[in-house]
Amino acid sequence: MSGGGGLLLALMAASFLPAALIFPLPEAWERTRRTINLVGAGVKVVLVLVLAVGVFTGAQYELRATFLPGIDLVLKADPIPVLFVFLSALLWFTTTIYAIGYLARGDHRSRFFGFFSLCVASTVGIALAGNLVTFLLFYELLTVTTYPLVVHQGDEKARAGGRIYLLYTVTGGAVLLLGTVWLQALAGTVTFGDTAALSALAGQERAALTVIFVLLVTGLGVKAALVPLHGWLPRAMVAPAPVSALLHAVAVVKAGAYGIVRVVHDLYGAPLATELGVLTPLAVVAAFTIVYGSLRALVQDNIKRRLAFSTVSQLSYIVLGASIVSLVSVTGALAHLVHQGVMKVTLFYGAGILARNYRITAVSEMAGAGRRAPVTMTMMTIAALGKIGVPPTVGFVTKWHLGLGAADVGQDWVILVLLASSALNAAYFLPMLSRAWFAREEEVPDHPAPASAAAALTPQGVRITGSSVRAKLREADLWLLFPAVLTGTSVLVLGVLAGLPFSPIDWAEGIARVLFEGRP
Amino acid sequence: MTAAPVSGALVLAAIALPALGGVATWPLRGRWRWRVAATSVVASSLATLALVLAIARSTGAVTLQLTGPTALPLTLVADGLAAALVLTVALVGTAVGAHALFEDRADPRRRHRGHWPLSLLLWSGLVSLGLVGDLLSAYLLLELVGLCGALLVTFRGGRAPLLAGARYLVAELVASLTMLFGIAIVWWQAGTVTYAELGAALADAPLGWVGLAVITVGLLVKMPLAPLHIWLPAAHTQAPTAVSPFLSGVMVKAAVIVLARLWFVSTPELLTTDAARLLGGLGGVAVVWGSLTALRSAGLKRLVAASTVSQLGLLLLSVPLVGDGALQGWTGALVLVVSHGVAKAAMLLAVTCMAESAADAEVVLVGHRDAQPMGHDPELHRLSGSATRRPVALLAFGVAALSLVGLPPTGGFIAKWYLLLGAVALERWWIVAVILLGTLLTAAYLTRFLLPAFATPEESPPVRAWDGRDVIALLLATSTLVFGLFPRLLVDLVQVGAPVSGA
Repeated sequence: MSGGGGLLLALMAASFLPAALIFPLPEAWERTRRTINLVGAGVKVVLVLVLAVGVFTGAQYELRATFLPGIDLVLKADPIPVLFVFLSALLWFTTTIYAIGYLARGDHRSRFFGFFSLCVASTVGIALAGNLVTFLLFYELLTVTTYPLVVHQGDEKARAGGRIYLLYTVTGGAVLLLGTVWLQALAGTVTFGDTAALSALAGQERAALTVIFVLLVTGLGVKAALVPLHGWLPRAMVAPAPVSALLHAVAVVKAGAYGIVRVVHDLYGAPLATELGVLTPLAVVAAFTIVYGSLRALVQDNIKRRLAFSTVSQLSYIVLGASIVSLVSVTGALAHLVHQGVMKVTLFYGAGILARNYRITAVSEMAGAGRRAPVTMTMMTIAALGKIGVPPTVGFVTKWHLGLGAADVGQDWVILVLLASSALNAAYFLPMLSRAWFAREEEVPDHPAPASAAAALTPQGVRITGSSVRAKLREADLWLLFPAVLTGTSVLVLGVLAGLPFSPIDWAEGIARVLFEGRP
Repeated sequence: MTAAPVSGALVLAAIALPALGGVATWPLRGRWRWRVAATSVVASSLATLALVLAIARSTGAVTLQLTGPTALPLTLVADGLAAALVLTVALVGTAVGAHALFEDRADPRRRHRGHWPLSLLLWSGLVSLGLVGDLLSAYLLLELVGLCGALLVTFRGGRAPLLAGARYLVAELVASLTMLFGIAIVWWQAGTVTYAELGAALADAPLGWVGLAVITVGLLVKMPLAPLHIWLPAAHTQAPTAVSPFLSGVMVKAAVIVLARLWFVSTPELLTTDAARLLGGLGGVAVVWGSLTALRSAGLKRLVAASTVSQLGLLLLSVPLVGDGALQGWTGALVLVVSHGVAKAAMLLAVTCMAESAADAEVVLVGHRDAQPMGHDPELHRLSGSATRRPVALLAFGVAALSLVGLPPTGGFIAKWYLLLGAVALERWWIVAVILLGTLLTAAYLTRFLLPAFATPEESPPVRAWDGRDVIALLLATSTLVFGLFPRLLVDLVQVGAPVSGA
């Protein structure tokens, strides 16, 4: 263990400990559970900040333990992992707040928050994994710990969704395992970032390396929802809104996309991957997924399903950017890891509030939502405009970089895909927004449906904000609204401030520069 | 090197303590029987674990010669192969023993009088079986444990358990006779039955090879290998709840260990590539057959029993890998012996608890005679809501299920990792395919149960959501997590004195 391993250990402990503490809590101990949750999430944010500062000032963080003969488990805080950990820590924090509010009256909350914590803890492991074996362990742990969250509602639909989820992810996991084992047999343990190791084998093991690449990306592609491996994602929508938010922004799908980025750039390296000729097919699949996901989103009436297909489409921006070998587009891809997370989490927070407090679950029911839930709809609008790619949101920043990078290396077709996708995004988001803001509503009650449930929780919020604001915020209690406002505004703020140092795009550019030009 | 830590006294203690303790319970009644049984379980558990630790600390196989009053000097071999079985016996035996003791603490008279003598004798027999160094002793011990097992199956009383026990006994006898016939041929040809001498003695005695083949067939029936397994589901299903975990987790490994000792330690040069492939192929068939049966079994214990058949096939699948000298195959198979034993036993213990909270325990566990196996799962649906009713037991079941599927961080994953690594390194792609197919099928049949478990139950949960037995099941299941998180514990242990050195 080299210096700084202690910080990583603390980070893992801050992730796993809340789970261990929450599971045995009696259902009624709401306050204790809430405290553990918030303290865990808060401590993690602080630790991640310390970690990020450390990494920027050149400190090395590594934690290493012998696992099997010849195989170490490695956690290592390189810039890409830190970017992802940063995202997951912040969004976990907001989602925890949101989930506490959302499930205030639910059953099995100890079970839910226990697995919720485990799920995010696995994500931290995935982010920091220093080699493929470590990555695989946490990746599978994520599969398992997400399952109880997907089936949390316990009804027939939830279980059907859970079955499909397991079918896809366990199969994907098996394919990923095969790829990992094969690589292990071929090259031993390869550390992420050590792309020379595989390049050295390119001469005699060309075919094997190509097949392994396909296996790895296919296995990861299930979680990243590459078409045609995306079928589980829309059905996992049966999960409660905080789970969907987490699933779509930080945990499951992001783990897949993040894994693909690492395999391409930290395991194979762009030069080797280009030489094997695997990147262009990957880019084509990603482009197809972008268009296909948008087309399917167009015809969904259920809000969460529409958002799910939108996720299918948006995730592939990351894959697409990663498979175009240009500094600018890789920058866009890495930044989109964060951007997509922030936008999508906002949309799901909003969808959750609409469903829970107004019983609005379909686009066709959204008439008048803007008047009844102005704050929620404002945030959803910002995020949706971001998805379309309207400046100055973060979505625009991503698309700009992706297109610019593709043009740099002569892949002009990518720009067409981006344009088509933006048009489609507009086509499925704008009707939703216009209906919410402008459509005339038909005889709907003027107050939030379960007003009593919301009122029971507002006192905590009141202490922070004062009673004058309270009247305006009747649409939902602050546990639900605060996270949405926070992430919604950051869609805008991060976009406006994209040029400043330490913005996601600046961060991503620094990483991409190291990938392409070696250590500065 | 210092003196070998494995001593004759330790081995004798591990073998004799359970046997003596078991016999000592026989004349006792009531609380005293309970006390002696409890003491025996604790003592046996400590002695067996001490033996495992001693093997782990030694650098190679330790051979002990016991010359007693008998004419034959008895050879005992303490190596990784023995340790795999002994460790499984220790962990599962302790948990099952604790389970039975917990059930009996209020009223020990309900338990059949023969339970403790027979189950502790079974314990002793299995420990010895792992250690003995000659075929004839192995045969006698297999006979002993088979008899104990068949009798224990009948202890619930009633027609179905008796029938199941009788069928079990018949299968055991057929297998034994076959094996004995084979041993006779080998003895006649080689003039010895000691493993260490068989290889040289049979090198150019083709008739002796026939003997080995006949022994192998006998062992495959005992194991049992699909499709020779028809007796197993009934026996494991009908056995009392404090017996079937031991049968499913440990008993089925006995023949596997003898098989491994015979082919890999004793006569590896006689195992031709074709023979190894044949065994592996039969294993592959068993993997698929068992899984497909489990996919359509009515009754939870039946499902788990069919899963055992499938996992035994996975063990045989390693034969061609070890035959080609892959240490990974050896390691994977023996890690699987331990992790499957522990996981399967934990699963059965958990199932017992969950069934108790369901509407009709008997139907849930055993299934109807005229159940509709396909499509609807009336039996398993009675368990819906286990997540609410018996959360601790369900957690134990879930962890055990992870290990059976082979997901990290469990011992089952380590086993699968090594098997796959061996198969990929040797480029045996069909083995890779069978392992992965087995993984998916296992996940499929286990989710048959895990899906309804998360349903919201209609009626309110019972007063007690868990008791000591749930915790015992969870602790046993947790041991597979320990093997998954600290796999060196197990990997180094089973590699002690391994007959292959790597590929």
